[in-house]
Amino acid sequence: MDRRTFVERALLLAAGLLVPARVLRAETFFTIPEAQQALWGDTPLEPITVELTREQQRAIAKASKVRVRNRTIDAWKTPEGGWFILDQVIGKHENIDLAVALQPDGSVRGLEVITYRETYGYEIRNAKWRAQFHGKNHTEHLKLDKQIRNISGATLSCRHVTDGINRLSHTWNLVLRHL
Amino acid sequence: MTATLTRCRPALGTYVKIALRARDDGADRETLIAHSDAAFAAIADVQRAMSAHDPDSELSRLTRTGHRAPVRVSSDLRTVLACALRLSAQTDGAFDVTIGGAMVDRGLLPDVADGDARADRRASWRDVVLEDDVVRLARPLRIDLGGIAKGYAVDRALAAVPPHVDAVVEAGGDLAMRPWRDQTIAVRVPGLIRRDRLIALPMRAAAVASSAGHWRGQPLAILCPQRRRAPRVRHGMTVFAPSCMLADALTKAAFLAPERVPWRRLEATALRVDRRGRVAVVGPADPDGAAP
Repeated sequence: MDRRTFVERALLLAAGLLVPARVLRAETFFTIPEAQQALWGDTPLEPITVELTREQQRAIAKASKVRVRNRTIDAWKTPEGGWFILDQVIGKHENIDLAVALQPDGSVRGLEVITYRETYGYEIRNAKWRAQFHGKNHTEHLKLDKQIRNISGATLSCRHVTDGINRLSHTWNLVLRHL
Repeated sequence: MTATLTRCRPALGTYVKIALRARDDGADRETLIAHSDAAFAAIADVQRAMSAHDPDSELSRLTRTGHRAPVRVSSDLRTVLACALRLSAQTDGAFDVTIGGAMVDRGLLPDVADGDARADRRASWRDVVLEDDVVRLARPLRIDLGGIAKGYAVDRALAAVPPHVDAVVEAGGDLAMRPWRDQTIAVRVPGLIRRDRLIALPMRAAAVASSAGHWRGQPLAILCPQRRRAPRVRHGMTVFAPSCMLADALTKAAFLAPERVPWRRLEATALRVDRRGRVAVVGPADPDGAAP
């Protein structure tokens, strides 16, 4: 190993020791067909991909006061003019995939979260303190995805869902209702 | 194969997750979806009755008229008010749902009052009189169930799932599960947005609730009933209790006056989690009694 390779590897190792492991936790709930079934039952849904023009994008952002990040809308339409839309909103730091059903009059029929993502720097602390509860067989390195499914923390507000619904209502009013 | 289901919906101002697992081969995924529908419906019922943000909720109507004439309340509202008042008496007011007026003053809640219903600043839990299913307010006041109703909604959702199905219901930190023994949960270490960390804790009761001060730089949305302002804290509080309603409410009392809470009588445990992920037992005060 030449000196340069050694230094590079040593730096990588040091970085690995200093930076706590980051875990992206992505939980998938309903599949898209299941969300469609839950929100629209047996009502037939016709897939429609809507491309917003830049003018529409600006108009929706102006009307809803919410930024329109994506100009492509993955949507399905019912024969009566109801909608099933796959949307994304920001959660704590990652995107949340959301299914939104709109009634033919544009009001919200229902919501289902499809995928929920969160990032953690994961550390196990207080081994001694916890050992008293776990007994001798206590596992030191619990795997976040496998052993621990449930997380309790300060309440994460779903304000971004409210913003997203507001944006979709204006999208319906300006674009979808005319399709 | 055993059927399982996890489902998540925005509700109660946060994300509500429900995980179900059939204990026998009888229940398929379709059945579990029907059970989860019932659980989400229970949550929607509680939200409709007890939201302090919705001017048409049962709670808002009680706020507007309860000081003029006695109001008959639903069994849901009665259950939560009874628990809240009992806890207020047990903690000498460290937990007090009449903090709503101060929450409105601080912009944490919208004002749904009209006319003479503006909250009297001297009001306390002693001014809420509950007799059977009738509530009378001794003076105009504002009840905020934000510190207890989310836990109750979780309890109701869990109860809506038949006992032969294992279930976990979680609403933004308020969590109840069945069965709970030998289960481990992760608790979020309070801190800055990009530095989220988790620590593992064994479940010590059927329900757990966590609350954190200065999470994401926001001040704690818990006001001290006597001083009418938020305590300055940088740590988090995690409370285990037999019901999520109790666990939820006790996180507030754990922040404000842990020494006044009869932890052992309530079969509850409060843990303080600091920003470095260190955990300490806050209640019961005697740590030997806290071990399961």
